[in-house]
Amino acid sequence: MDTLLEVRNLQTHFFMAEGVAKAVDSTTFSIRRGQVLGVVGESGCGKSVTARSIMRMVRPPGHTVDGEILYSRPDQDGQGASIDLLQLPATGTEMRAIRGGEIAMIFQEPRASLSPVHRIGDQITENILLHQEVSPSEAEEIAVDMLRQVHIPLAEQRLDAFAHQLSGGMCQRVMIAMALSCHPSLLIADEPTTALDVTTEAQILELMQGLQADLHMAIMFITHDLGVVADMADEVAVMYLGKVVEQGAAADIFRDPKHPYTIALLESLPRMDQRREWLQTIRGVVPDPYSTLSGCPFHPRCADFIEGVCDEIVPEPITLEDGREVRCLLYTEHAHQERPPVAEDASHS
Amino acid sequence: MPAIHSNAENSSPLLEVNGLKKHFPLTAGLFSKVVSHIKAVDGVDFALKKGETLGLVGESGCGKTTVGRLIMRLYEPTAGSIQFRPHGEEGEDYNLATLDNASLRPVRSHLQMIFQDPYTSLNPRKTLLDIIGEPLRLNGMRKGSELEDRVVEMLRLVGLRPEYITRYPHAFSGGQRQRIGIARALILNPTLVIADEPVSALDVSVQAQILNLLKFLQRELDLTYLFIAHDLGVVKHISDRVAVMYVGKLVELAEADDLYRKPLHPYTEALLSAVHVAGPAQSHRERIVLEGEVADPSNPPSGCYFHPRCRYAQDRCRQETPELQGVAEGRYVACHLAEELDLAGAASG
Ligand SMILES: Nc1ncnc2c1ncn2[C@@H]1O[C@H](COP(=O)(O)OP(=O)(O)OP(=O)(O)O)[C@@H](O)[C@H]1O
Ligand SMILES: Nc1ncnc2c1ncn2[C@@H]1O[C@H](COP(=O)(O)OP(=O)(O)OP(=O)(O)O)[C@@H](O)[C@H]1O
Ligand code: SF4
Ligand code: SF4
Ligand SMILES: [Mg+2]
Ligand SMILES: [Mg+2]
Repeated sequence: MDTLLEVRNLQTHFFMAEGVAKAVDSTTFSIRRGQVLGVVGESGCGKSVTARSIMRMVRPPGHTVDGEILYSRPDQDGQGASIDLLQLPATGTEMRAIRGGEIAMIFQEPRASLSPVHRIGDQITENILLHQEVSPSEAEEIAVDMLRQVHIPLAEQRLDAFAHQLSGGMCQRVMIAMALSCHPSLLIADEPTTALDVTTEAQILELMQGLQADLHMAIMFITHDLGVVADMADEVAVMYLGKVVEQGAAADIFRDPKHPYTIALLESLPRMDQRREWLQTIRGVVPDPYSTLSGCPFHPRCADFIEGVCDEIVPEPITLEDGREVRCLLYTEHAHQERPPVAEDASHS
Repeated sequence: MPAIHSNAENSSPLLEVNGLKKHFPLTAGLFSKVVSHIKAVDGVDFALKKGETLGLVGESGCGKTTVGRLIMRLYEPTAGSIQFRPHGEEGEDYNLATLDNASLRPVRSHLQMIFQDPYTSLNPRKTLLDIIGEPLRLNGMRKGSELEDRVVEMLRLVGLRPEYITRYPHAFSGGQRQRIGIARALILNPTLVIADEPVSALDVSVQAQILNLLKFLQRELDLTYLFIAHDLGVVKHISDRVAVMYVGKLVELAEADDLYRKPLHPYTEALLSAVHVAGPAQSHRERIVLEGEVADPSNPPSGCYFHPRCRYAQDRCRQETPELQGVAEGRYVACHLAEELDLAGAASG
């Protein structure tokens, strides 16, 4: 297996006055070269913080306190050498060369991540000049070409525009153009099409798929749009409260989700083929990342909760026959243990 | 000019937009000479009945946000009128397009906007209490603990924890920030809410919760929504009627069910065909990929703006601009061939 990035046991916490928020709590997953990993999960479960941790862009009071981010970097002879990004100084030359070049990121809130005081053309060309050996005029040509590829009309004139003069979806496409302009080997796309209508989105996804095939680019595709995941992703990782609770082939997960959280997530989808008065929601809310829950973190909301088991034992990731990893006690011998009689009664409620 | 009412009997809707235009100057060179104009909104007519939801969809950059900002009078209209009757038929009738700042003040509390870019619209130096409570305070309605109670109530409604009240916007995830914007817009019980991509950053479960909340509040308080979104599943779920926009103009307006079942405009058909369906089952439906460049809003194509990308275009389409016309009860379309074409709707079943 040609692994490009392997994240092991990543822990990024925010140290706040109220306590420690474990935004990313022991996350483990991997991305293969040239493949698309879809990352899904409820708002606040730690997707963006995971992405920022890989980019080494977590700011205080946040700190990555533990884990490894193994990036296999092709060296001059084409041999892969694996480095732990967490061992590199975040602002050192090596990390600066990787960030925005080899590993590029499309940020979730494009308008907020573009500078309000610099023209967008300057912002794109600056990044190109930082990572590629080209002249300023060549950089500008690349910038115009990229803006055309993301279907911005009047690309040349728009180089002079400021972010506030563009629509929400245009800002997003400028971000995408900037990220793709350096041909990264890993693209981290954090909700990259939230501001795009379906036809523009289809064009952008096609562009990404094209580059993925031509340049063997891998994509970590963070999205809440399960339809897009179904279309784009080879693998899917489902996150809940800072942990990956299920990872496997996209087709398997859609056909036969295993983790109760994944099942609930798939059920709350609004659909064009049905008209429902009220949409299904997962009961309860995502707990505060400050709180420490005993047992399985999903247990207060889980439809399959086993009393006396799920609230006591912390599920570890286990691998099922189809290669899928699941963090749920239903798939362990604990689920078949004899339960105390009190729990038996309570589980009917 | 067609009278775009939801039904002919309703003579004084809550909001009536006629001939609305916004042209932005496009400048070039050192001295920012105006070289042409971006016709972001170029003659839009529609009406909103009290208590209804009108969905507004269309390509990225077609002018949806600009329509919303014009109604809010965050932009000065280039032309057109915006009649607003917050107190019903008997009450006062305001033309938002021409009111000066002083006369706008009493109307403002009836109008709220949920902004497309949550982060840039939240003051980074204020806590949630200040941000969400601000509309109340500006209207001198509540003070001290009463204000705090109301903010806490809003936080709960949008699924955020009351403890977050003293935190600043940067300490939240993208979806959490979007909900802060929603809480702020709804706290005053406005009459008309312009919701610009209000759930685009939310995962399906929280999205379902927010859509349910919007529907619930609408029923309780008779709210009216102009709901801008690109997710056609969401739009169908929430909207009574849907307007489709293309390069600054409306091209179709109809009851939601009718529009999805049988679109009359080729652009609507293309939009519906591009929707992703989660799960591998339905992936072989024909997707109409729109070929050709996105129209340049400073120099739109001759005749029908959509003709370079329309697969049904004829000579006539290149010369004559179709007007938005009523073709059946409550159905409006701007296409020369509307009565001849038999277009495909959204997949069902
Ligand atoms: N700067 C910060 N300070 C404190 N807490 C933070 C900060 N940034 C994020 N968090 C918290 O960390 C958790 C994870 O945030 P993250 O942005 O990764 O969520 P997400 O999965 O990307 O959600 P969304 O889908 O809403 O974007 C959230 O509960 C958030 O409140
Ligand atoms: N303040 C401004 N100055 C100059 N041009 C502007 C300004 N605001 C919007 N525009 C232009 O007007 C057009 C319409 O923008 P608008 O934001 O209304 O699009 P939209 O339909 O909301 O798109 P999206 O779905 O991407 O948010 C775009 O070409 C945009 O660049
Ligand atoms: S371990 Fe128990 S509570 Fe957790 S997801 Fe599995 S069944 Fe539900
Ligand atoms: S008027 Fe002609 S070009 Fe325009 S949408 Fe209709 S068929 Fe297509
Ligand atoms: Mg996020
Ligand atoms: Mg917009």
